[in-house]
Amino acid sequence: MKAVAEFPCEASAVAAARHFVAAELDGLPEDMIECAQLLTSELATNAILHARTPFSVLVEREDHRVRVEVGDRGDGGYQVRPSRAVPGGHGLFIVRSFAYRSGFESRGGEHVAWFVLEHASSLDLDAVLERWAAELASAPDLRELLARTLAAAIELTRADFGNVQLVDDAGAALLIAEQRGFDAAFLEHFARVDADDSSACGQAIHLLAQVAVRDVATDPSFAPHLEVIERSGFRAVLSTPLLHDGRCYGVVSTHYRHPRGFPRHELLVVRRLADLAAPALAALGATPLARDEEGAASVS
Amino acid sequence: MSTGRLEVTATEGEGHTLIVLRGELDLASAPGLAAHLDGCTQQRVVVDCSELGFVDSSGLAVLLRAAAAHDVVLWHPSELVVRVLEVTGIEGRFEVER
Repeated sequence: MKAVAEFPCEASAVAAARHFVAAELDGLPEDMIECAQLLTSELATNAILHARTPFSVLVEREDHRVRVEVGDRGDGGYQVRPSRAVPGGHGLFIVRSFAYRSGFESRGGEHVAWFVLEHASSLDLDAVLERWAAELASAPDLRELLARTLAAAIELTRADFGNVQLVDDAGAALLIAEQRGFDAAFLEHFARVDADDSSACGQAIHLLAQVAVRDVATDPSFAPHLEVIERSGFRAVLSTPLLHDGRCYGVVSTHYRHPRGFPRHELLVVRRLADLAAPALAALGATPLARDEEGAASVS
Repeated sequence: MSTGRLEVTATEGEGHTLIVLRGELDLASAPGLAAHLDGCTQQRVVVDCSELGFVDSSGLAVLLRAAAAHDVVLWHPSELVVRVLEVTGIEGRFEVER
């Protein structure tokens, strides 16, 4: 399904554009429509303030996927403001952070800014998880359990790469035990991660909580790793600790080539996957992270 | 006062100015809100967002500018607004009461 509308170069067109998008998305989940309205508003505002031309809005809707394009007749010379906390200029930053994918194109004299939102319904994800639950339960050994856990996390979140880290014998650090898609430099750099490391997996074992990073390039805690991360080609990452009986047996991380948002039901389904994998790991004799009182790794 | 799709009501309270926003805050309605905020004489400004149906970065920029001169409290913002504040890293500029 596809719809296009034209809007004049005036401030009131911002509301008209987002209301047009909302009407076209009628019937989709409320949070997805709300997000599409916000991002449309940002792109329409840019067309008016920066391109200073009339603009068109195209909405494409297909099952749970929505693509919105805002086309103006400017030269596309405006950029994402790299620094935070400056009034104005947050628009494209918001688009990049909330969209599943976003970008720019020049097309026959038109400058097109676009974003895609995807909303796999939680029912779809439940079915995928149920299938993987059976696979995890029947894994014959540790290696196969790790491979299936990673494959499940990648499928559930449509990730481009991923890895599973286990706790070393001393209970002090994370070691990569299974991975998909990383280069040697990445594997070497992140071979061993302690709980005081600022990476997503380091934060996950420090906080004993799931850590989602929409864009590593704009997250200051990734600065020490940025060179290696840039070469390996990912921009977003989700790290979920494997917790069982209050103990951490490792971390499953999934990585994405493009900045992206993480809808709540997606975060939840990966936590449920981790809840299935962690007891299986414990049963196969994996080492948990030592607790503070045991005198080994301090996770403070 | 109504500016486009946004209705702004300002009341002088005890120790603060209360600004109630109803409607949608964007490029078209932001200047009207800015005029109200510029007129605030009290240090503490409570912005009631409970009936604010929409806000984008143009609206946040106005609130952020006010936060440079005042202690701005955002009262009952929507979940999406809170997420936008977090993503843009400006949540620390406001006191947020949920």
